[in-house]
Amino acid sequence: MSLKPLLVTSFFGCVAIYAVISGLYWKHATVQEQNRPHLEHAETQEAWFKSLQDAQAGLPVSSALAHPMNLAVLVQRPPGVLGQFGYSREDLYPSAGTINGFSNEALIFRRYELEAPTALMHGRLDLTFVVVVLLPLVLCVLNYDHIARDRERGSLRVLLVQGVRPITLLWSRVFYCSLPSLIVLLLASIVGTLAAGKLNWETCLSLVWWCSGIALYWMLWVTLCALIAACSRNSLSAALSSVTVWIGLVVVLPALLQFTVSNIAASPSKVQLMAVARAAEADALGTLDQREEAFIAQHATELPQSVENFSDYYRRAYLSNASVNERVGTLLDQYQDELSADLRLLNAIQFVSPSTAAFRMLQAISGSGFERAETFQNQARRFFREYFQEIGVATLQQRRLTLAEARSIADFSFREPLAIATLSSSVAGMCVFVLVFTLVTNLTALRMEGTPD
Amino acid sequence: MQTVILEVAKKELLTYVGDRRFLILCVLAIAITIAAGLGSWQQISHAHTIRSDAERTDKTTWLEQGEANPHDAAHFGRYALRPVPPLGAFDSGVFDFAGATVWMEAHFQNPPANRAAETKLLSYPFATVTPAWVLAVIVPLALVTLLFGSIALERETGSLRVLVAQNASAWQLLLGKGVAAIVIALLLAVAMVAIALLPVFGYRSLDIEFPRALALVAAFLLGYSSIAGVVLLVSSCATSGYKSFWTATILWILMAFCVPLAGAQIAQDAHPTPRARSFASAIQQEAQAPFWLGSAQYEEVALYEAEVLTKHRAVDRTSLDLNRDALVLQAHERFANRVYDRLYGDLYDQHIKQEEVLRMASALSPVLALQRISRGICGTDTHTQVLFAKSAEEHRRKIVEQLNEDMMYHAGDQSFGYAANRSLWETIDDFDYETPSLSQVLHYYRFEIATLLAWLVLAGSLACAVLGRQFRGKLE
Repeated sequence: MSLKPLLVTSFFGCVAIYAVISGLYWKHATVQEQNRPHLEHAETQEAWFKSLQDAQAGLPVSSALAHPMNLAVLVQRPPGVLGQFGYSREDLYPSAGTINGFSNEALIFRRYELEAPTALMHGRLDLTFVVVVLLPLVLCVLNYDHIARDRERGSLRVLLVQGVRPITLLWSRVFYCSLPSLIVLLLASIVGTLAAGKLNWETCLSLVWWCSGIALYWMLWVTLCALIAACSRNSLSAALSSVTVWIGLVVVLPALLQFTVSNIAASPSKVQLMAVARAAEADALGTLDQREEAFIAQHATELPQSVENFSDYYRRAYLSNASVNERVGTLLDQYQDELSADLRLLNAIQFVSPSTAAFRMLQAISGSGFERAETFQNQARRFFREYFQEIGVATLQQRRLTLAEARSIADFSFREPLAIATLSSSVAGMCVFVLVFTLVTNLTALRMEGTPD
Repeated sequence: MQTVILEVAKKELLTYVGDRRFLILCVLAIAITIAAGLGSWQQISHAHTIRSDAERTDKTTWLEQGEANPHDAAHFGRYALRPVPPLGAFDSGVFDFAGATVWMEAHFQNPPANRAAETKLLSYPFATVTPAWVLAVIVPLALVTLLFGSIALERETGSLRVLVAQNASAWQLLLGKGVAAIVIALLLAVAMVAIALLPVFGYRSLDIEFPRALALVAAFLLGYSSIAGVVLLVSSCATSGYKSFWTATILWILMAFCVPLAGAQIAQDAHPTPRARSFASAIQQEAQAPFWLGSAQYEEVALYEAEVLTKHRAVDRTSLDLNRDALVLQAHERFANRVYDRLYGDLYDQHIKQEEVLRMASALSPVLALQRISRGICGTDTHTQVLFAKSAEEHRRKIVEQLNEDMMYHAGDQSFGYAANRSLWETIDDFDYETPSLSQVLHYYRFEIATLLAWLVLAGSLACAVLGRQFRGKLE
């Protein structure tokens, strides 16, 4: 291997290794943070259960302790299976929230917006960035003048006279120069996965998907670089074409796609949601007495006869919160429907930008990005609804939860989403590009056999 | 002497105007700027409407909450909404990634929340098309394609030798080319900023400060001149056209993408922000638990009570008919505020320290320096965001104190049974916040401005030195 490819590939390898190490550090710190004791509430879950056990054992326990409304549940989004490879903007989304009887659906995730906005805007150097942005640039730099160089020197004609076929010459040079960059990425991925912790079948499967995704995107750029090399007349035009293609596909097209999506299907505004949720909250609190009557009527069979005269703090708090949640929940459902429609639109049109498709595919495989964060927030909200229903009955019946009831709602576990739509549309789009580029490159190379200059 | 410079400049300008690649890139940049401008103005106008509606809703909800205990009202709280700067349509800066609202409630300081970026479907690294992005990233690329061959290609074609033979000096040649490049830079800066700001006439609710628009033109002129200087330097050093192109392009990639990313990475590693759960625990363990569950309450309440009594020259609480519960609540505010001053003070210090790292990084990249100045002028930078967060917190403390004091002086024995009405809610001021003035912004970004000037002078001098040596070599 000559000096230029060696230097470029080595530099690329160093950047990839740095990205993996940095990702591993982030994952480790996140896991550590998630494993720390839950001290965000006055009455921790551990203390709550201890009080409940004491109460069930007949020991004197204050009525404020182990009350259903105070059962604090922590909902957390663990790093993705290969989250270390796509952590760039993970801190933008909430990864932990607390639930108790006083929360409402809009307030599960609070005070998480601590990162500096500039840092979030620039993101971090993760392996997904290295693959989607830097790999194409490296391939362009390594492959742009495979044929143009020989054309300029006049050696292409000599090679053809010696019986070398342009198609063989082109592809062999392109693969020779490009393969090391793929190997570097695959090795970095494997090492990054092994170093992240224990392996299980889910991790292995994700790694296979991840490597296949990288290979597909690499293939796309290899065929595109081969096409540029085959079409270029001289080194300068080859360089110009390569840079134009890189900027067009990696920088401009994804930006235009994002711009188009955000203008066609403007994502619902969080400020707007906040305003309507607040109005709904005020409305609910203003009509609390009516709400109370309606709730008692709906739950008549579950409530003791004396409930009509009962107006303790917890019951009123629960009823007012139920009323707020009912209204806020409906708004959040509408908000979620709008987001889902926007996502469907993005899945349908993302194929026009291979880099965007690859980016979303790698995010889906690694377990990072917007879709996963949204899924987590939805799962947390659904969990909250079940939790709230369960503590409601006990609160209104003026009793503590049983241990079994409490255990059934005391733990939240995040179920990884299957982003089939994102993955399939990304893979299909990229496969089409690879086929088209390969076909056009081969046709151009075949034409060269007759007229090498 | 002047004739040579003017002749070179004239010839260069004619060449530039006829450069097909440059023209294509300019047309593309203008088309994207128009589209981005229209889209951004529409979005900012929409954001402006949403903010006005939200502000109205918040005020109405607050005023029409009916009779309630003042402390309950303090828990219900109010929202501080970040103003939407009209020039945010030109450069949205960091605002999509920064919270647009602050909930001002009793007992808790909250960070700005409701970030627009959280609802963006794509978190692709370069996926924000604004006029400023086109002007700061794409137009410099157009300058690269225009100027990379300025000297290198002349050397390749032999026309440089002709100039040497005509006794033209290196600095005359460079000055001529530099003048032409600056003329192009000026035209680009004026035209592109004007195109980007044109849609404002369709949105009469958004007023633009004319001096800020002028400052933008000046900043982009300075930025483009520096970048042109760098490309001319590369062209002077390169031995062939395509080497000059590759070097200039790689430099552009480094300046536009790598330096900002590396700077942000270093900034976050060197000055990490606390994790959300640790931060929430710290609030519970330091601002809440010691007061409500620990022993801090007694001392704090005694201190506050003494202060109130001294203020009213009273001997004891009963003589003033002070409500004890309200006294305790306000004492907690004072206790918690000291903790928040430390916790949030450290947090925002980290944000500013990260900014300082990026400021240093901008010394390596005229593109980053230009972007930072542009954000500052448009009022969409981190500095403005931190000021907003701090102003909102100041306002929260004022509101909560006012409500607690009302309960303290008027609740008597009723305590939490005491209810205030609309007349109290009306005395609570709306949140008002003034963004930094243009002169403050320019002062704050003086390092970046100096950086751009330094790049211009340094690149020009080096190019002159390199070319001078080459000229002397050829003459010998």
